[in-house]
Amino acid sequence: MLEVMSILGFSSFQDMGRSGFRSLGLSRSGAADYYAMAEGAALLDQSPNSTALELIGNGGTFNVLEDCMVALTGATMLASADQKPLAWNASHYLYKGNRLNLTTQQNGRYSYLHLRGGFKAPKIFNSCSAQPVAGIGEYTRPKDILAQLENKQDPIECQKIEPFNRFDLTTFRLVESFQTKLFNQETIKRFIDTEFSIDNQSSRGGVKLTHTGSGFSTSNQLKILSDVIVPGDIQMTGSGQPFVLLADCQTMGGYPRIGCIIPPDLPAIAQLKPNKKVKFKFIAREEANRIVAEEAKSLELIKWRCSAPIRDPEKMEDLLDFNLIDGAVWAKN
Amino acid sequence: MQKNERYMTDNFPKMNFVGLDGILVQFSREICESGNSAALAFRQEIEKKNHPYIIESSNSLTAAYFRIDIKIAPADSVLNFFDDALKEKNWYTLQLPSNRKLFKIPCVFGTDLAPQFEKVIKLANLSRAQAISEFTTTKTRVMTIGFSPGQPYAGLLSEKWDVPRLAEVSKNVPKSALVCAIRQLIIFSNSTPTGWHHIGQTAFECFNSNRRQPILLNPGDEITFLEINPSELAQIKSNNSDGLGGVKISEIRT
Repeated sequence: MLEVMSILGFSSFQDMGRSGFRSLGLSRSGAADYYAMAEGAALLDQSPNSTALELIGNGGTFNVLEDCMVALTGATMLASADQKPLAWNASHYLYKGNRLNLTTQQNGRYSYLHLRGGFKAPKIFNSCSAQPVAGIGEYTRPKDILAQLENKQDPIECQKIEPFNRFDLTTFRLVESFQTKLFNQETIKRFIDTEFSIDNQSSRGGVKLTHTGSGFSTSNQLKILSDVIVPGDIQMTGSGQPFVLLADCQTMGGYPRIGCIIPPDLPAIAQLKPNKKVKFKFIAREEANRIVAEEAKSLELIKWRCSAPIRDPEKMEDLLDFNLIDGAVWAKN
Repeated sequence: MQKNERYMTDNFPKMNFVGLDGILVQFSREICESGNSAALAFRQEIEKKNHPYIIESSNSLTAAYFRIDIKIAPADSVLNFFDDALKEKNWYTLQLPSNRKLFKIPCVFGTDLAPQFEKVIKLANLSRAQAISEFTTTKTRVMTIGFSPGQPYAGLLSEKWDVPRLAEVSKNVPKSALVCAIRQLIIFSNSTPTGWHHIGQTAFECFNSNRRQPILLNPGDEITFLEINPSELAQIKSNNSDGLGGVKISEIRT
């Protein structure tokens, strides 16, 4: 159990999202980076749907009220317990009275704090994922008590995990979607030839892209019927500016979508920090299906990414202060 | 990919992909009540069949959307199932469900609370009295729920209201705003940037988690309005923890 002392960015509870309620206008929501959810679950030996705390833009400080076990995944942060550095992409024991400090995201925008047993959060429409702008759940605030849902007694050892490679992708794969044909060939060609920049106007709902040159539009764009929108869609707003839609995106909309990013590339674009450069390429549906199947297989084998249990967590914490000696630790094992 | 006559065709109903894992069964290109009823009925019928690959479904204005569990099978493996279902009946001539409701929602038209009203009635070539008479006497059908929780897209208004959305998005239109474009009305669930024209302000909350039923509107329901002034709206808002905004709900007898 933890008590929030301070929150520096935006933070909310997320699980793998809600399914089955889009007919009522509810977004899918869920963690922006599902690899991070899978990694946290592997480290703590629990379901990837266990509720985690998603930290956007920065971290916070937490008082440990009861002994517990946590895992840290997603965008790397500087993490410490009572000023003693904690390794990222790893699980750790925390003890009553410790002060957990998470700060300074390094390689991305979304970081995750997982608790063994999962965080206890209100379940709304069958999911604990908060979407405060839609009136579902709240952002985490100072003084919040973050309790665990399940009390897991059986002890497990601290581990490290080799994270899925998703922090330096620059070309994103798209499949055609039902509105792709509304754009003419010339516009599509210009779109895939253009290098875009991630704008700082980004949220869990979508990432704005900027570029030099004119916008991308279809004919009669302002009178297209509103229709289904899904995460991954690249939508052109009225001025022809692209937005990549993410987990909290609306369920319907009128601005046309030129294509849809394949699910395995979606956490990667969500993680990109402002000013990073990206390009897009269309791939065939067959190839996209193959990539999804391969990804599902590697997620099934995620336990192999965990390192052998660390026998002496106290000593390990100290060693991991210095990334340079990671090799030495591995050699010893 | 399986060959399928309804994929990539110009004839309706037709099927298309939404991203990698979605299929859209479209019943008309233009918005119309028969296309809307067909889409609502088709989705309802498919839900009853409990296809093991379908994770969830929803309706848009004139289409039914299905999300496929691509961890089990690629989306195109379900095209023939939809094709067979489409052949079962004439989806365009079905009656709407019988348990529908009429929502009469108090609304302030124009004033500082809804600054785009005057501009839109000019575009529609209507006087203030004519416009308000249309909103308070016509019953528009909830054609779909979407964008955000419980939010209705209602229509169709008469052809004069076929006004395009704004090219420049307005920064923040408040929750419970009444907006219009292309012969449709929306009441916003939450404050949002939008290209739709803000023509009225209500206190009706499409989604309110304090209510036993957070979402009240369903596709097929009808909406009409009662004109009120800003001080009446303020009064309604002063006692609105259930977010009903003074709505009167009655059964529609068919």
